[in-house]
Amino acid sequence: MLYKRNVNIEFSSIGNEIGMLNIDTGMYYVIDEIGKDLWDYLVDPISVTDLVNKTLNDYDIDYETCLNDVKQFLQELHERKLIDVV
Amino acid sequence: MFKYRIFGLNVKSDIKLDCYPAHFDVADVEVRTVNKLDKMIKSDYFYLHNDNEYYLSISNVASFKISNSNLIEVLPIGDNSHSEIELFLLGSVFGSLMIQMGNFPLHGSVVEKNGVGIALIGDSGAGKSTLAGAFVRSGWRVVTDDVIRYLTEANVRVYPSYPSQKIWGKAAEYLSLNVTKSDSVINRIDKYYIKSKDRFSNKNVNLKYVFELVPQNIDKVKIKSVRSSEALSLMINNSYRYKFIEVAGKAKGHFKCISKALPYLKFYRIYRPIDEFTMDEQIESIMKVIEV
Repeated sequence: MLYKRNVNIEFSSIGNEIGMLNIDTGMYYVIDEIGKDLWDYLVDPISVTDLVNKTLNDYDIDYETCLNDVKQFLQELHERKLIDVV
Repeated sequence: MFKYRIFGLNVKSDIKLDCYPAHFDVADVEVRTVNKLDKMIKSDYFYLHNDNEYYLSISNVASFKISNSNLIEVLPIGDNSHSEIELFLLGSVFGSLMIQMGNFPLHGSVVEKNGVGIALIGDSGAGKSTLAGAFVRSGWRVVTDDVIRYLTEANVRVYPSYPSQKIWGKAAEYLSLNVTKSDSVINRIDKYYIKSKDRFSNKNVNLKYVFELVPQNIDKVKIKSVRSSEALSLMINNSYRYKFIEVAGKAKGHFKCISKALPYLKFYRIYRPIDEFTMDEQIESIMKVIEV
């Protein structure tokens, strides 16, 4: 299963964070610095495994924690329709 | 025909307005009095016919049509007073014109000193105009006091509106401004026009700071900085008629406009006691966090 940004999301860098607007729902969101890295990777379809490996490269955390955090983040983005499963 | 510079726009008008006179050949906007409009709409109602045609009707005052980002037609209703037409024209109508243009204004006041601007935003009754009035006593001048038109390029530039401010009777008294019945904005309402020219600035200013005023059940004025992520919703919620922007289908342009400005601005929230004039304390806490 691969994940990818929903193309109907407008987003913009605000300092170290990213502001987002879901045009379909009119809802605004802000994601933090770590989320910003993941959002950058989601520009093209990507698997959970690849996301976890990239994150493990960037941050000094253990595999279990990283996997759980990435999964939870993807679930939150998906619930808010900010990303699509492709 | 009268010619003015209003909100950074060259405006040609057949209605005389209390605005800054200007000289130009090509107008950005024309204000034209008409005998009829192509559509009649309900009173006190906004009607978005399409992207290029907005209608607005104010009972017993006038109906307005805003089209193609450059024409405002005014159909006076009944035996209205000219000052009421001007009130709505320079507020809701110009505000809607800017939305049509894609320059989404903020709701609030801007004061300036040495070319640096600070914006005062917040809900109705938060004390924006009163605080702006108090800033004048400290050598600042009012750039705009209701609709804030800004554009972001190398910085955030705010354009002056017109040299008048609307202030509550009690606030005028507190600021030692003499007002009489003839200065009333609308009869029976305790709000007055303050029009002395030396209180206002007609220069473009570089907006650097935004302060949200929040009345609270507290004893002393408090000030806190606002994170940029929170500033996004602050700017959205304090946009002039932001519900209208959504209805007009311009949420995307609005979002872009705000996120472009955000990196240039510093945001603070001022908590101030309810039912008490604490303007000096508010200005004092603002002066501690800004550089002019």
